[in-house]
Amino acid sequence: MNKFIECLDMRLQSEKVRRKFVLLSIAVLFVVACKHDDNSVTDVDGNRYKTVVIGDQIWMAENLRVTRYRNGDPILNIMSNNEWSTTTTGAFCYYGNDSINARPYGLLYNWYAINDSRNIAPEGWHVPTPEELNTLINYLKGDTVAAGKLKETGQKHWISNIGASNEIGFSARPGGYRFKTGSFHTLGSNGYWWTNILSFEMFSWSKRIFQGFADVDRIEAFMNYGFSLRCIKDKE
Amino acid sequence: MKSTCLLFISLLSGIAACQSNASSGLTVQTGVTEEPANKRQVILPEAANSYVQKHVTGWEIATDADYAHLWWSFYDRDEIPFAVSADFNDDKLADYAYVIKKADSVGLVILTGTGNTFRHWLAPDFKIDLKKSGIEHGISVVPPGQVDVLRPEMKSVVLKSNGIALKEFEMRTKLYYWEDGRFKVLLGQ
Repeated sequence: MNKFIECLDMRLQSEKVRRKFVLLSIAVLFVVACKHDDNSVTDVDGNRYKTVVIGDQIWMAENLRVTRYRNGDPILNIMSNNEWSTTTTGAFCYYGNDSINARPYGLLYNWYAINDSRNIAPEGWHVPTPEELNTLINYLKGDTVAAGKLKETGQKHWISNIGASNEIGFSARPGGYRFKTGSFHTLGSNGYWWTNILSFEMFSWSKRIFQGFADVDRIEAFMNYGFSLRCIKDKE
Repeated sequence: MKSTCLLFISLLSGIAACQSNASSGLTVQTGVTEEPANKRQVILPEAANSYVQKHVTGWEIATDADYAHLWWSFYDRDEIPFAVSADFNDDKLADYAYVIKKADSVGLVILTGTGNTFRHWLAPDFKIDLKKSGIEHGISVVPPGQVDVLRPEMKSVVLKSNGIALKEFEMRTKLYYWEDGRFKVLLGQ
């Protein structure tokens, strides 16, 4: 072992080898930093998200998991069912109140958090509108096939997965939802995402994308449902 | 010297690649393209079929051929009217529902996944005579939401997880759903 260390030490002292190491490190750091700048967005908590270009839109390719608004103010983490059902301020939760679900599925937000003027989306990004969702669906040739093209393939996160091809890299995962009374449902089977006024949904059993399970203009009670969020990049 | 040159070339290639991406002004994430899963295989896995044969005594899963000719004048042959799969009991495992048949009857069974096998629940309220013309009932998944029934009396139920609609042609006659740790049925249209 000592011989090995001595030998290694001698080699490292060699000027030539040291130069190679420095060059290699610079190259790796440069490429990694460059890649991050181009293919990701970072939220105020420092979480980094992959992004995906779809037509002339750029979407997050992961569900949001930020716990603060853009200005640094915290979003309330409400665990209690009673508090969740009565709050009129922005809140988030982990599915089942278990933080292990944050990385794979993101967080669930109530509508008050989505609508807060402090802005839940990272700088340069925003909560999609129904019109932007429809642009996405039209680009994918309509609602009857759109979810198939958006869903992550395989059964690591979906319990079963009919029609999933993920052909544009959106990698939709089923984060389930939190009911207005605070109970959690359908993780692994159904995915629900907010636009600024209504939800859109994808299911393990369909390649169709659905819209409007929750419509806060129609029924205020939906403001207390918890859904996932994918932000969309501002147009320049 | 040779290896140092190679390192320089790698570095220059990295820079060139980065500049190429940056100049487009777009972020590009390549999607994973795979053939979508075959629907029939997903909702009729061999394990579920074997389970029914072994544990749902006397019954077998219906087939396309068991359906009435009239059924296929309403529905596309690509549809599978006798089988659905989703998580019905909110345990994050795939469950299945099948229209089943025996010599003279048609019924419905729900298989709930347990991880390595299934449990089954035979709908006690649905057992009808198998008509000579063939089966005229199909099933489909109903996602969470409020379901209203107008007849025979007005009723509403809020599905919190996926349910199963039983339809006689276009007419929904029953809704099976999980609540309070068991399957329940909502009757009516």
